[in-house]
Parts: sequence; structure tokens; C-alpha cells
Amino acid sequence: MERWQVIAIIIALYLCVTLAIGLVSGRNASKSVQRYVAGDRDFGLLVMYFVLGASVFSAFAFLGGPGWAYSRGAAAFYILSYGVLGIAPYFFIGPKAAALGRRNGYVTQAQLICGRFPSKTLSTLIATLTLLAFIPYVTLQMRGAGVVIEAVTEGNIPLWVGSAVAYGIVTIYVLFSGVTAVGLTNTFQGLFMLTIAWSLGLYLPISLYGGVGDMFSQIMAERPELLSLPGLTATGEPWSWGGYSSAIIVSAVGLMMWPHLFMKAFTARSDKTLKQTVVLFPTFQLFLIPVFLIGFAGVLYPERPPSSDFILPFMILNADLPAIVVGLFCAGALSASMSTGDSLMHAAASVTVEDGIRPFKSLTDTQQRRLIQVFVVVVGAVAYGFAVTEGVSLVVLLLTSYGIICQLAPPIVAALYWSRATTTGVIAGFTTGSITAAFFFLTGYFGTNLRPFDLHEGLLGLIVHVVVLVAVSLLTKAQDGEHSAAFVGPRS
Amino acid sequence: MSVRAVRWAVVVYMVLFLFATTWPGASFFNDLTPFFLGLPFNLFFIAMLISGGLCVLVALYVSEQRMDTD
Repeated sequence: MERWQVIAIIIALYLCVTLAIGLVSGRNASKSVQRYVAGDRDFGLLVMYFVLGASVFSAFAFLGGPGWAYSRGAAAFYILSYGVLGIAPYFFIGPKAAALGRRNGYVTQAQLICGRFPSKTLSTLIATLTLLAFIPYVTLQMRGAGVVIEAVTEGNIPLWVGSAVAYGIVTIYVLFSGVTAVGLTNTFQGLFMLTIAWSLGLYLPISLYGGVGDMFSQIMAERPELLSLPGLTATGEPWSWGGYSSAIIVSAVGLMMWPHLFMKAFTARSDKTLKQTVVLFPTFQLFLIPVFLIGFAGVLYPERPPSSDFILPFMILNADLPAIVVGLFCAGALSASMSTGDSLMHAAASVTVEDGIRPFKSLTDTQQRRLIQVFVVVVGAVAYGFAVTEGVSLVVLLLTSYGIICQLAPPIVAALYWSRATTTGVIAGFTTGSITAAFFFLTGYFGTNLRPFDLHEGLLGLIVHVVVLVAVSLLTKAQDGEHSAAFVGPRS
Repeated sequence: MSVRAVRWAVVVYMVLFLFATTWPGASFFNDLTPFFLGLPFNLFFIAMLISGGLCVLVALYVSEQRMDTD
């Protein structure tokens, strides 16, 4: 049997185990929307930990992270830096949102925002922008899965087949078991990924250079510019401090605003579980360090991968490892892609139906669940279309997604902490902030970079957003005190 | 230490974290040597900041749990 066939069999076995866990998790589940979208609010600490951890160990971190370390050096450290800053506010916001969710039946963050600021327009705006931000994110995960499978099977299983098989399985278990499958498969995949990240991250520097310190000493001697902050751009030029710093700020603000993460406040069993998850989250940031070591191990390697995103499978294949071990490593990389992708597809479909359709049309519980399932397939199909088509850089699209998603932060903070905020103020802020972010992205994309100090367009959008939200709120009639107190109160 | 004081400590730590990881703060900790645990100083420093973040969040959780018990 050829080497690539052994690897393909290991990957197939891994996919079968994942599918089995996904399907078994939903076997005894109730058929309600509450169960499908929010897991009957019954996720324990272990599952919550890995569901949030999967957000860190996405295909972007597992493939893009080593790719950035390899080609852009210290620029990759921004991925390490934003997690703690992003998760800390959730210690306070999460339990508050969860309490409101339990009381009012919310399962999405738009429902929470529109509960405080009643507006169908706002609900539709949030659903539309969320969906726009989700598509490139899902696409990136799918493409990551295809890249890994194509690389390790020496091109015998092309990207389009690899993505289709991996995400066909994701679609099946998400359709069948909803968020419960997302939780249990993420736990399995999380354990798998951590083992892979640490073993490979330490093995490569030791086997190629004699140790982690020896590896960095050699890189420092030959490519010192790679190790110094803020690192390099994709074209190899020095990155600006403005670009690096604002990437950290926008990613920190956007981290918990991603609906697939924020909505987990509604799935946690208790406030205690939610807070414990937040406290343990920084451990996942530390687990990312060995992933970067994989990328740094490739810097002085004599051969080059076809593109920097291929560095992880490239190094795995060149490390003289037995085929079974290579297969297991690749399954770890697939875990990273699939554990984020399933959560994204589920959340994108839930948000579309709950926030984009339900405010305009009353649906029975069964109709809602069915419609969410239809959209899981639709989102998957659209993302798959992009994943197999060469075109716009996905990392660029992903960073833009963060620019859109972080616009959800001011409405959430205003809903929970500022009684003077008004619906008009929130809509005006959200609209102008999103338009500002889109304007700076598009002008830059078409060749005219108008961003001052190379700041991320999301940060520029946020600045405009907050100013407009505050100004318009103060200029419009305040909400009924009893209504706002129900959200802003100390234990609302 | 009261819960209020711990909450403030977390806020102060996060502000310092932001300062130390972005411009201009990060430029003060941007040396490559000395190496710690095989990592360049700037990478090791970020790892230490993350570990510190973990510690202050644990302290916040423990103090809140104690308050709930009392």
C-alpha cells in the first residue's frame, strides 16, 4: 500500500469517529429550537472550554498561524496577544447576557440587542452583516480542510474532494444534532488538536535544529527581522506598528462578538460554568505557541512549500515520520478546521432564521428548526463554492469580517450598561460604523489606502460608531426607565 | 482583598496588557535576547503576560465565589 493511501485511511477513520460522535450526541435530544440552537442551556465546563477553545484553534490559527510565523515572523504574535484582552470582558457580559436569555428566551445576540432596542430593521441589519462576515470565515475553514487533505495525499485527493468530504460530514452532524453535536465533537477534536500541536511543535525544532533555543538562535543570526515586532507584511516589507496594534484591538473587541461564541452564553449550564470557561480561556492562547514553532521550524528549511499556508502539512511530510503518525497529525489539523466550521455553519443558519426571518413571519417550533437546517446546507454550499474557487485572499476577507463583527460590541455594551442609549442611536451608530469600515476596506482593496497610520478599518469604524451612538442617543428621547433598567440593572 | 479591589486589579492589568502588547509599549519589550525557555524575549514576554492574565482572572473568580459563599 502506498504511503498516501495509509494516510488517507487514518484520515477516513478520524472522520468516521467524528461523525459517530456528532450523530450519537443528538440521539436522545429533544426536537425543540431551544435544544437545536442553545442545547437546552445545558453545556458543562469541559464542553464549554473546548467550544471556546475551538475558536482559537481554527484553521486560521492551525494553518494560517504557522504560515504567518513562517512568512511574516513576529507579526504572528498578534494572534497570541488579543485573546486575553478579548475574553476578559465576557466574565461580566456573559453571565448578564445569559440571565437575560434565560428570562426572555433569547438564543442569539441580536435578540438580546433588539430586546433592549426593539427594531426589525436593526435585527435584519445585524443578521445580514453577520452572515456577510460568516461566509469568508466558513470558507477559510473549508479551504483549510481541503488544503491539508490535498497536500498529505500528494494531490491524489484534490482540494475540492477533501473539502466536500470533511464538510459533508460536518453538515450531516450539524443537521442531525445541532449545537449538541458542535459541543461534543469540539471536545473530541480539541483534545486531539492539543496533543498534535504540542508533540509536533516540540518535535520539529528538536529534530531539525537540536532544540527550540537553537532554532531561534539560528533564525536570529540569519533572519533577525523576522523575530522583531511588528514583523513583516505578506510581501516581506516591515509591518507598521499601527497595523499590528490595531489588529490586536479589533480582534480583541471582535473575539466574543462572533455570534457562534457570544451565543454560547445561552448554552452554558450556569453562570459558574461560564465564568470558569472565561478564566481558563488564556490557556488556549499558550497552547498556540507550539503551533507557531512549527512555522518557525520551516524558516531555515532548505526547501519551500508552494505557499506559506501549506507550511504545516509541508513540514509534517518532510519530517521523516511514519505514515500513521502523519495521518494522525493531519487529522489534528482537520480537527482545527472542522471544530470551528461546524460552530460557524450552525450559528450562521440560526442567526439568519432567528434574526432575519422570524421577526417578519411567525413560525412554529418545527418550521423554525427545519428552516435553520435548510440554511445550514445553504451556508455550507455557498462557502464551498468560494472555497474551491481561487480568488480574493481569504485572510484579507477574514480580517475584514472582524471589522464588521466588532461593530456588534457597542450595541451589546450599550444594551447592558448604558440606560440613556436609544434605538435610533444604536441603529445610527451601527450603520455609520459599518459603512466607515466598509469604505476604508474597499478604498484600500482598490488601491487607495486612506487609513490613517495604517489603522485597521474596523477600528476606524468603531471610533465613528461610538461617537454617533452616543451623540444620537443623547439627542433623541430616552427609553422608558423601567424597560432599560430591566437590562442595565445590577443583576438584570 | 474585596471583590471590588480585585475587579479593579483586573481592569488595571488589562490596561497594562494592552499597553505592553501594542505601540508604544510593545517597542520597550521588543528585545530578542536573553532567551527564556528557548524563546526570544519578546515572545516569552507575551507568554508571561498571558499567564499573568490567567492568574488575575483566577483571582477574580475565586474572590467572587468567596463573596457568594459569604
